[in-house]
Amino acid sequence: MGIQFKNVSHTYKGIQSKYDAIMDVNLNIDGKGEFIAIVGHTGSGKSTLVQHMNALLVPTSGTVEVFNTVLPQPKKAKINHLRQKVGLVFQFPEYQLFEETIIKDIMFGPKNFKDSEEDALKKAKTAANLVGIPESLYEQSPFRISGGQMRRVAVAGILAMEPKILVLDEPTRGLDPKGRNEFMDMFKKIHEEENKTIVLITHDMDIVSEYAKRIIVMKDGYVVFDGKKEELFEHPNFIDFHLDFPTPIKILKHLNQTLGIPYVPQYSERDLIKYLEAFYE
Amino acid sequence: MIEIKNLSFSYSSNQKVLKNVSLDIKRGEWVSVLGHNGSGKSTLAKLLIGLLEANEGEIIVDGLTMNMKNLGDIRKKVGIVFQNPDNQFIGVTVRHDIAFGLENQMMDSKEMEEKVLEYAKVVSMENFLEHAPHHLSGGQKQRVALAGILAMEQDIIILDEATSMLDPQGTNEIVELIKRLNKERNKTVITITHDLAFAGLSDRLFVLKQGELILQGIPQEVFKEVDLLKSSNLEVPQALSVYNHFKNKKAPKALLEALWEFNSKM
Amino acid sequence: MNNITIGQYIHGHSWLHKMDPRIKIISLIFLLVTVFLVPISSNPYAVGTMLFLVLFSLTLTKSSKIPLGKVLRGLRPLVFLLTFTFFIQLFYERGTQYGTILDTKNHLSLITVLIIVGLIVLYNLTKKRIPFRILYFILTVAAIFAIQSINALNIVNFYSYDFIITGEGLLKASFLFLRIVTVIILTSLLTFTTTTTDINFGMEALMSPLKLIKVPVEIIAMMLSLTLRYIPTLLEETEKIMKAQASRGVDFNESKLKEKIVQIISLLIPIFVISFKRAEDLGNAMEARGYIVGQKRTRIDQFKISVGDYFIISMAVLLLAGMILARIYVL
Repeated sequence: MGIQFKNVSHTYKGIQSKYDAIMDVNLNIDGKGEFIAIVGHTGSGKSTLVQHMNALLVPTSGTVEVFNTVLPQPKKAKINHLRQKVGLVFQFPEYQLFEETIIKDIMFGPKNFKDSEEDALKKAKTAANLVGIPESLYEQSPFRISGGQMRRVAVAGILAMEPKILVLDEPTRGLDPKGRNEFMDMFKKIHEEENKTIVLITHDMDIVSEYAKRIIVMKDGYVVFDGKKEELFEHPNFIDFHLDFPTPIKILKHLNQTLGIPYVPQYSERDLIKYLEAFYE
Repeated sequence: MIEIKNLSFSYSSNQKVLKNVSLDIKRGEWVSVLGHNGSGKSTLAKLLIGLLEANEGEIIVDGLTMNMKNLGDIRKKVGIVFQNPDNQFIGVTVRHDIAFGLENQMMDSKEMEEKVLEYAKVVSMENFLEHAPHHLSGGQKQRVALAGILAMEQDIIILDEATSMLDPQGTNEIVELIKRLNKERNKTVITITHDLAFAGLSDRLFVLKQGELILQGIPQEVFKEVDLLKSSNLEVPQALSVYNHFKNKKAPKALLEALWEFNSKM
Repeated sequence: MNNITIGQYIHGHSWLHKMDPRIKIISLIFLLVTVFLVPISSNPYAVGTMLFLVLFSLTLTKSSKIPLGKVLRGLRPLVFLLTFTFFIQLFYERGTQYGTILDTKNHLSLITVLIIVGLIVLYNLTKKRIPFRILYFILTVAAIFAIQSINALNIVNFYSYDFIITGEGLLKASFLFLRIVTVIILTSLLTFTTTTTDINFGMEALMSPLKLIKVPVEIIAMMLSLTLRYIPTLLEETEKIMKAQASRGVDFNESKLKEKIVQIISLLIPIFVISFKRAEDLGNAMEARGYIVGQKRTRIDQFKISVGDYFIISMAVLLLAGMILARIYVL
């Protein structure tokens, strides 16, 4: 189950040109329990890649199997149901809000998948609770709340569909530091409590380092690394990936150089502090 | 260069978005105004350029006290780059957009062509003059916006969350440009942001919380106030946070020095 | 992904490209009026003038170095309308002053109706495989009428009618056809050889006499310019929102009316919201950069009317004048 990419390429055909967005991608994403970060420079194919996961795009060569449905399918085949199984939250998702009230907007997703009004409402309330939207806001217009709250409503709209896999394209872009932390803790909670697979596109290596277990690195349309985060930062070809080291690792390398403190990689500020305190005991 | 005295503003009769803010900015300084979303920092930017009129207090730019009649003169001294790269790109091509401000100033065509080329070069967009905006990245569009402001040769440049919507590459391009503009061209720069790593590069910081100025000073001093910053939804950059933690715990000097050295390298 | 080009401008260096856009637009208008003034008659002068104008347009196309195929492709969306108009003219014109070309009795019978239905189905099924689809379409239409004239197929007759093609009908239909083709060629040439900013400038210049009756021409031109600038951006944003809503279960392939309404609302409202925010931000940005509505401003693009431009507009004026005189006195 889950998602399997087999030799997937996707070429965009323009009027006079073509553009190879992703090439020869082979990937397996489990339907449960993964926390994957997808990183890479702008234009490396990350967006194109994740849009295959919920069948918004289909491969121009190769196949993607999403929960037992193999894409591409014949033209008139119904693939809409896949979007309920794999929930995709785009960048700046607050732009997708349109309903009269917040609760109605969150219910929109479940209703599109033929849930009854009751079921949709129940799921919407659960999702709203998960993202921290209080009941007092349910009947408000989604356009009269702050940008950060709008984003939460948008994410709730996807969560209410109860997808098995949650895919997020730079969910924290534009948020202030507190907002960023709250969002990432929310996804961590969802991941831990429901054992949901979370796939995250991000440029923030500190987020990658603290939250992700597995990292996929894309470069010029190819997958150049797919493995545990511990392996990525020790990788001999790390420089070719054009990525930054996460701050805790940068600090440790610096301290190793200047003070000779043994380099044992730490992946979050908390762990770094613990490690240094232990060292100085 | 800029004096803000007891500035207050509210959109409606309900809540004051800015409460009695006073601060001074010297010529050639690079200052950052920090605050959470909704702290009033963008409102402050709009007041500084006269897009909003203060309810109380005054703003004095280079000796000129702002009122609704001398906005034209104020805007000859102050330029602003906004947050959304698409929503301030007016021209059909890069060249037309950079020229927009100059056209408003009734400059003649020949002089405009020279200035457009000159400032396109400053932001490294001289090879993109005939490009339409939808072929450009966010960072490129913001560079064009900056070029358009530079072409108007104002002394003061405000950047209102100009990097919030950009990816790290785009943000980097803008940060490098601002450093150069401040050092080489002695522009007075005011950056409005919630990105403390970015703000830490400037000379002085002002921190707004719920419309009030709660903190000001040089970055090193401001970043010590971890709790105050946290209460304003702001977060000290990780490296500095680690440093502060160990400073409070009276850790060995060598460690503190090494951590401080790391910070200054950023 | 970033392949949207506003308008259809094709870069080039022909004299048509280099023309002042104001002169180009005015000359085009004169030419279009001339084309419409050609009377439909079998008078050799009328026929000659029409053919001359068609040839003239083709010559212009050649000298602009825009491939003819591209220009004629502008006719594609109109093929249906053209064929329809052509055939209507052909059949309704019953005047016999130019002789009768065809006179048969056509029958709509059980057999012929079935064959016609079959032909239509066949056309729709095979149209994707046939290269010269327009020709195929016309042949199919011709076949549909030809079948009805075969007496042997007149079994279980529903209705019979006289199918007459007269010389006059053919003449009128041809004139109409050529007229439309010429108009398309000429207007396409304008859009292929002039950038949108230049067209905008030309329109603004054209509208400037309206300033005398207090029409805010510069403001309209600025609005036009901003609209042009934002069309590709809006298209991209619409696509993004479509994808976001599709990810929430909106099936854009679903064609039931109720679903379609939801689809449209889920796109329209976000686009409206984005556009209103954009309008507010733009207003701020423009004001901050010194734009004052209604106040005079200069322009970075300079346009000079060259000798060549004067020559061309004189030619266009002469052509039109000549046509008017010809209509009054000769034709």
